[in-house]
Formats: sequence, structure tokens, C-alpha cells
Amino acid sequence: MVLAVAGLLAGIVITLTFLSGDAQGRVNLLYLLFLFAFLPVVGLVLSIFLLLRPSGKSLAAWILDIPFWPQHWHREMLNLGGSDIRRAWFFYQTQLIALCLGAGGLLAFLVLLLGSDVSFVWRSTLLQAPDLLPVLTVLSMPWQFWSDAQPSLELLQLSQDFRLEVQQNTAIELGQWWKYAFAAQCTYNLIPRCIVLIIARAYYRRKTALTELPAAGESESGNLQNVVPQLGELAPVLTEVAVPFAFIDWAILPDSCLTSLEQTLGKAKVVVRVDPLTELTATEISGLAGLSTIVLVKSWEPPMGELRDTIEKLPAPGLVLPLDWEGDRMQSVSDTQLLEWRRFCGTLDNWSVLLPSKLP
Amino acid sequence: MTPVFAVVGHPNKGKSSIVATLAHDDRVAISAQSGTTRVTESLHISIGSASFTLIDTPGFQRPARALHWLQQHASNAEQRQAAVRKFIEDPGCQKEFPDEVQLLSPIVNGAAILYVVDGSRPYGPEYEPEMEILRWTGQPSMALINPIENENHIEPWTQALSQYFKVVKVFNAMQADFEKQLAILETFSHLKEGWKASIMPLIAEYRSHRSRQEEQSLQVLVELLTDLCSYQLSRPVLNKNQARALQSTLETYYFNQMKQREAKAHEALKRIYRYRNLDSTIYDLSFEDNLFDTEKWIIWGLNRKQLATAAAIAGAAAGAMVDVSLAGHSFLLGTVGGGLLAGGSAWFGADRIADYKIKGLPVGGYEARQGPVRNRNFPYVILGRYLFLNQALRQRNHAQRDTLQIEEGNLSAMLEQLTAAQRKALHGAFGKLSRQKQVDDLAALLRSLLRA
Repeated sequence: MVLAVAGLLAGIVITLTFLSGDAQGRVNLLYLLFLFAFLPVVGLVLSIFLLLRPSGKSLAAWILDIPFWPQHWHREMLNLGGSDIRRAWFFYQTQLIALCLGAGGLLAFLVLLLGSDVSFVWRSTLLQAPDLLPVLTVLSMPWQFWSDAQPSLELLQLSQDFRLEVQQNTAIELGQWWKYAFAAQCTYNLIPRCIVLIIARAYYRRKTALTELPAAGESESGNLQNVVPQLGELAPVLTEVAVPFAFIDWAILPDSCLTSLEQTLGKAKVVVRVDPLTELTATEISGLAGLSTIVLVKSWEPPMGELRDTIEKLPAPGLVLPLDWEGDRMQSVSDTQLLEWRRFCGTLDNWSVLLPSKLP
Repeated sequence: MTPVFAVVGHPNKGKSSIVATLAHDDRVAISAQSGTTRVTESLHISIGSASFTLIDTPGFQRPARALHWLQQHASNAEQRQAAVRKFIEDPGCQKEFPDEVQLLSPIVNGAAILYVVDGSRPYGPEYEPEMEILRWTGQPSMALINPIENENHIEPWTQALSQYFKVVKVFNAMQADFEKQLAILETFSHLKEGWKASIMPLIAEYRSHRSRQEEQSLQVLVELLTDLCSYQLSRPVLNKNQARALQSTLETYYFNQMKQREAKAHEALKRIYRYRNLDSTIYDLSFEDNLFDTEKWIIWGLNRKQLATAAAIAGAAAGAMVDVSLAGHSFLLGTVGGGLLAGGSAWFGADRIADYKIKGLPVGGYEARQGPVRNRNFPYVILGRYLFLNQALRQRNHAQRDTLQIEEGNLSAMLEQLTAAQRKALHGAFGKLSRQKQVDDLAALLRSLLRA
């Protein structure tokens, strides 16, 4: 913003200086074209060249190298990002300043035209009006539709000035060049700068978009509802079982493992193999009377609703025995699995987890 | 057409882990407790112009009985899809089978099925009812074998699953790196006609997002290095005694500020890689423990010998410029002298960190000044710590919930991956940084290191 205002003021001051002319208020048209058309075009081409130059030090880097910049500004510049971002930023800023400079110049030009009689003349030792006309005609090609702003040989001859001769031309005739100067400034300065500024802005945004940090709480799906649950009540772990006992085999335990288990715990008086679709029969339930009930489960399979439904149908509380095996060999139950089963039994009435010390 | 996937299966088989990994979202609740996912949760993942939806679901609880219900309501194959719809709409089923109703609802509404099992445990027939129910839905489906602990049972699982699912893939949700994640996404594109057009751009967007993340992390590193290497703290004081009394306070504040600045950069790095809830520990610089103990610095940066060599290379490069400007009339004295001088100063200055200075002010009074850190190893230390964190985050998975621990690493081995010219340029740049000089193209020098 500061730079834009500075550019605007500089444009006003420079244009006022140029347009103040000589003692008679005459302004050299060639100088004006140099200021309004030649310099902006050269500046534009140069800045685009510096941006697109594939290697070598950028303008931004050269500017940063100037030793008198304050250290905090220096750091801020470096923190803009990599050299390509700085390059894009500088390009964007220079286009902005140049546009403000041009706008300031145009403003001053229009104010002077409004409040003062500006006479446009041209002077040259080498050139004559017929030499200059083709150049001015080529320059005016973009605004051919505006016939009043076209150069003519007559006007050129009329406005050629020789300092030793006293000119008799009226200010009105010499002032006709303002349309040409205005069109030149719009065509060669303001319009291209506006276009390049838009491109520079988009270019800078694209560069910075690559390095923009995601916001702290960024989320595509809003807040999630599921949270890690509290551990809840844990059932006790028993290592011994009262005999006689019955096995409810929910684990589909291999026969070899069942034998191994019975060698450790003793022989079960009853073994009932159940599955989710099997309702325990009245005979099976009555057969459990007076026996400790041990439900055999796969330790690695989390307890599911179907197991809960079956357990809740049993007449009395019992024990859940989580078992782990690989092939025919029994192996120890992990702490995580044990915790999971204790948590499950904790939600049942008076159920416990059995973990016989003699089992692996 | 936005592809929608419902991730279903037994409880605790890694469904949420798969969702977290593919969505790159560490907010998804994951734990060893079954029943962590209580309600169906949709995660809409939008990257650039592409998007897809993953639906995390509770596990099956009563699949055998649910199948039994369905079998009673469909006498032939033509009626099965309608029976599943009836199942989710039936108030009795909603009460008796709340989990099944929740997990089947998105599927009935058009989501494709990603069925997840644990390949480290043996196949069991108790899985068949739920697979049968999923088959009844008639939706495109795929099975993912998640080898949670090992890969011992992948083969039997593959045989069983291939009878129910057209595509069966092994996908370790906890360890799948970025390329494996993209590979599985590509497989999804074959599930339904028309999805290829949605999923292939999504994969391209993921890749470009990755590049963007790399650029962002590079930017954070450049800022961190620039800030820390130039940070200086000064306070006006009336006399030298006051300045001496202030020394300890100023030093503490100075190093705390440095640590905070580094922590801020590390947090930014986590955010770049979309870790919102990640706790991490990093071997501490421990400025307070012993300010002048640079032993810990060597853990992250370069050791004294490597440092001296790096400095010598940079010094020789600077000296060579003098030789060139004198058209060789200096008989390479610039190169040799520059190398020796810089290498020697790095060797003997390896233990120095930041000086405390008291300077007289022209207008009267004094200024107590702490820093900047001029130690040549300092930029390497900052770089090393950042690089190892960056590497760990890139390799990490959003399903992992353990604390990320960054132990000491071997920075010089990482530097060895650079070409000799790149190393030389980097040493030169770090030499400049440690002298608080501007380095214009630090990002370009660090880019390949960060991507390694």
C-alpha cells in the first residue's frame, strides 16, 4: 500500500515536471512520448525478462543484496519463501508500483489539461515532420478508431518549434496533441500494466498456494463422533476352577487342544459345542446344574453380541476362558486380549475370566 | 460420481485404521478395545477437484442371526437385495441388530464394500454369515486382508475370501506407505464402472498434494533456519554491572525463544502432514542443562571433523573466487588459504554457541546483547532435527497412535546422498547463515535433502 501511494505520488511529480514545459508553457512532445510510451514498454519488457530468466540471480536477490535494508525487513523478505516466491512477489510489486506510477502520471496530465493551457511542440535538428510522421502513425495504430487522436503532417509541421523563431501558432492548435499523448499513455502504459498486474497476481498466488500451511483445525468432515471409550469395569481373573465343570465350546476348539486343555484342568464333565444359531436346549441347560460353567473362546476374536446373547441364557454365572493356539499348539494369551475379555466379563453379572496358571 | 466405500467387518480387525490411513486423518478413533466405533461415520475426503467418501462402521455383532432373519425373508436370489433393505428398515431389526443395521445402511444406499479381516489369525467359519450378508446386498465389493501382527494366514484367508469377493488384496493399514495407499485406491477404481474416471484424478491429486506438502515443509525449514541463525536479543542497560546481572536472564530467555521457535516449526510440519493429535518427543537440545555443552549438537549436526571439512570446502570455494578474479596470479593461495582458515575456525569454534556482549551506546549507556549463534554447526543441528522429524512423518501412517520418538540420526549420511556440487553449495550456504548473511536460494539447496 505504501509503495503504491509512493508510486502514485512519484507519477504525479514526474509528469508535472515534464509537463511544466518551458517559459511559454510549451511541452516537448517527443520527451512526453519517451515518458508515456517508450519507458513503460522498456520497463515492462525488462521486468518480464527478469522474471522468466531461467537461471541467474533474480532482481529480488539483487535488491536484497543492497546493504542498507533494515535487518527485520531483510528477514521478512527471506521469510516470504523460496527464491521463486520472492521473485514472483517482487514482480507483482513492481507491476503494482509501475501501474500506480502510470496512473499518477495520467492523473497529473488530465489535471494540467483541465487547469492549464499546454502547448505540445517538438524540436529536432535532424528530423523533419515527414520523417516523424510514419513513426507516430505506427505508434497510433492501436487507436486507429479514434480519428481525432491520429497524427497528421499538417499538425506536425504546425507544432515543430525552433527556439530562435517566434511561433505564431495558437495554443488551441498546439494543444490538439493531448489526445495523441493520452491514447499513447493508455495503450503503452496503463492497459498492458493492468493486464500484467493481473497475471502477476495470479502467478504469485499460485506460487504461494504451494506453500500455504494448512489451518490448525482443518477438517473436511467436521468433528468426528466416535471416541476411544473408557476402559470400564474389569472382571477378576481366576487361575483355578472348582470341579466338576462343564465346557461350553464357543471357540470351535480343535480336538488336540481340547485334550491338552483337559490334561491341564482335568476332564470336563460335560462339553457342549454351541454356535451363534444354536439355542441351548433345556436338556443341555439342565445338564449344567451343579457344574462350574467355563465358556471357551478364541482369545483373538473380540467378544460379539452373539456370545453375549448365549452367555445371558446360561442359568448361572461362570467363567470365560480365552484360548490362543497356532495349529495344534496352545500359546499364551496376550495382555491386550486378556484386558479385552476382562472388560467384556465386567459388563456381565458376576462373570470372571479364567486364566489357568498351568496353561502356556 | 463420487465413489463411496463402506468399510465393514468383524470388530477390531482394523476398519478404522484403514479409514484413518486412506483419509490421512489421525482424528479417527482407534484403540485395542472392540466397539470403539459405535456409530457409522462418514469421512468425505476432498483433494483439489477430486473427492471420495469413506464410511467407518461398527463391527458385526450378530451376523448369524441376521442372516437367519434374511433367509426367512427371501426365498430366492431375486428377493435378496429387497430383503436386506427390509432388514434395515424393519423397526424390530433396528432394535435387535443395531450394529448390522448401521453398517448395512450405507451399502444399501449405494456404497461399495471394503470388507476387512485380520490376516495374522486363522480363518474361521464364523465369518461366513457376514460375508454371505454382504453378498446379498449385490454391491461392488472387495476384501482387504489386514495383517495386524503377521502374515501367517494370508493364504487360507485369500482362498476363503475369493469365494465371496471379486477382488482380494493384502493391505497393512498400519504400515502402508504413501505408494501402497495409492495402489489400493487404484484397485478401488476397478470395483464399479465409471469409478475409474473419479479415482484416477484423485490419485493424481494425492500426488500433487504430496508435492505441495514437500514445498510447504521446505518453506517452514527455510524460515526456521533463517530465523534461528539470525536471532539476536538485546536490552539497553545503564551500566556494565547491570548488563552482567542481566546475563543469565537474557540467556535463558534467548534460548527459550529459540526452542519455542523450533517447536513451532515442528508443529507446523506435523500440520502439513495432517497430524493433528500427534505427540512427539525429540532428543532435546537442552540449552538449559549446559549451555556450552555441544556434545548433544553433534548428535544432530556434524562432528568436529565433518564440520571442519564442510567449512574448508566452503572456504576454499570462496577463496577460489579470489583466484579467479586475479586470473590465477595468486597461485591458488585463495583456495588453499580460504579452506584452511575456514576449516580451522570451524574446528576450534565447534564448542562456541552464542556470545553475550556488552556494547557501549553512542548516546550513553550500554546494550546487553545475546546471540546470534555463530557456531557453524548450528544450521546443521537445526537441519538434522528437522530432517529426521520430516522423514518420520513421511513414513508414518495416520492409523498409528503411539508417540513419535525421534532419536539421533546420521546427518552426514544424508548429506552423502547429495552430489559433491550440492554439498559444496550447502556448506557454503550454511557458512553464510552462521555468519548471519543472506542466502538467496536456500530452498533449492535443501529440496533434495527433504525429499530423500
